[in-house]
Amino acid sequence: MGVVPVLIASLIGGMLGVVGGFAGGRTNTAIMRMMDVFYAFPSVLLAVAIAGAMGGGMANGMLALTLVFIPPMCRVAETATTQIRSLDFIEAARATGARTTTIIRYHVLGNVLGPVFIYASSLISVSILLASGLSFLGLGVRPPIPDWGLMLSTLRQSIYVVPLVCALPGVAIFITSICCNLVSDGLRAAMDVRM
Amino acid sequence: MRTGLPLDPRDRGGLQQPMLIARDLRKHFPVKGSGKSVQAVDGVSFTVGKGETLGIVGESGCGKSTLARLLLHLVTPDRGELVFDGDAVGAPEGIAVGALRRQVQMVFQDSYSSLNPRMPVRDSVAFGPFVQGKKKDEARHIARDMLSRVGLDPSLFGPRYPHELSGGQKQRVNIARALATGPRMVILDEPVSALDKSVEAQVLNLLRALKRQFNLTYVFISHDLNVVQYISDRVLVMYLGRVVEIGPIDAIFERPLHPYTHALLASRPSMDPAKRIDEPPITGDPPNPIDPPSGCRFHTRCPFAEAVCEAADPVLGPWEGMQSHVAACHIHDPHSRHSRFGNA
Repeated sequence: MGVVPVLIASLIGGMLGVVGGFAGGRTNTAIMRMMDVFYAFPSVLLAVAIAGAMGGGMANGMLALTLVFIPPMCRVAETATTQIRSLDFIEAARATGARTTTIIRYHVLGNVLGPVFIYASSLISVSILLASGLSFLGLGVRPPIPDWGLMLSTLRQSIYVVPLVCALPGVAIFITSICCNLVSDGLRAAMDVRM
Repeated sequence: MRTGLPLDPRDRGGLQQPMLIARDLRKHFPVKGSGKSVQAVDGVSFTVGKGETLGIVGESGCGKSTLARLLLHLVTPDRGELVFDGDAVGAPEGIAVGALRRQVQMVFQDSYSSLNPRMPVRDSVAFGPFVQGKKKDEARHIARDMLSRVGLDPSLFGPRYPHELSGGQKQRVNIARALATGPRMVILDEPVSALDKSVEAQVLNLLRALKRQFNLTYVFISHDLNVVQYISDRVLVMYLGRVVEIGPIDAIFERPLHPYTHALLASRPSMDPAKRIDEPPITGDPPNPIDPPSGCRFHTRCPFAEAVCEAADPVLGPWEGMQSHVAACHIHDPHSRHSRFGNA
């Protein structure tokens, strides 16, 4: 529930961003303005609204999260591509007579993948939080499939009786998302290319 | 110098036919919102002979780099014509841009940004041959060969990334990359400007040796007159997007015709401590290329400017064959009625 939307979003968003960033001009403006429309809403609100409109369920919840994550992924890929595009080695590749698709495959993707990957890994923890939020509201996973957000919701009543039990799923969510953040930081350090 | 070279099998017109003719090239970059444009290159014509090194000099912003990019069609010209070894570039009966890029390559000024930071340098060198239809291992083989030709041990430097190389080594890799596709002509856009003096000399010597080895023709762009003097056979002087003077290297350096060339030469640091330059020979910044002066573009800074200079465009001439030494200045035009005609 947490990882899948991020993966799909980084694929779609990354592709849109690379195409937009490399094409530049009007194509880029069209793509980025479209993304800005989604950006205008707070991400939680947008996820809730989409999931609510389509009805609950795990598939719909994931779809909602994917839509929420596409714009930021697209923006990261677009920024990286625009930076790369103006460098001389792209021009040198053009001077050898390489086609645009070849240039993107060999010279652009390798440079854009790093930032996209790092950003995607940091989004996973956000995604986990949002997903459990959706489940809590009854818009994500439905019983009998187990989910921490769902548990939080059902254990709400026990907060006055045994508060500890009620807190446990929350602690689990917290620890998982912290772990994801740490992995993301590690990746960033490992993949840092000296410019 | 140009005789006795073995003939390249790709040669079409023989040694007498120029490698490249540029006619009236023009590129204006529109400035957003103002309806005006930067006149980066404005009506530039010249020829490059086979086996020759043509130096292009001029101040920053005079359109040298744009001109280099025009020659490879990395920037498409607004107007004008390129003829490569007798074939008009881009014309239906001439040579296609893709085919031109198999025969002409370029070395960029910034050795860092012209290499992909996430690719081992041997792959950067192999990319050109690979794109032009060689198999992967063939391209690798060419890359190894090229790296050793530029003086880098392929097994030591090949697997390295650009950030693991020094500036001089990176520029060697760039030269290897340009030569990997087997070009006949190489455009060098300030290839040594970012290097320190000792490395600069090494790279220049390397370029000279490679030129002999591969039978190359160079267009060498630089703002450093000493470098140009060292490597060029002929020199073209640019000012604000136009050619002001063109001629053989010795003629230009000994008897400059144009006042601008004169000032450029005088601005070189003196080697004699008794003859230090106290006054700069030329003052002020070049005028804005968005709104260049009328007539001769140099008249705003020229010590000999007269009414005719502001009114009329000087033309390059008179031509006496490929090797002639000509300047675009009214002082050398008998019809201009400039008062200094004949005693410049």
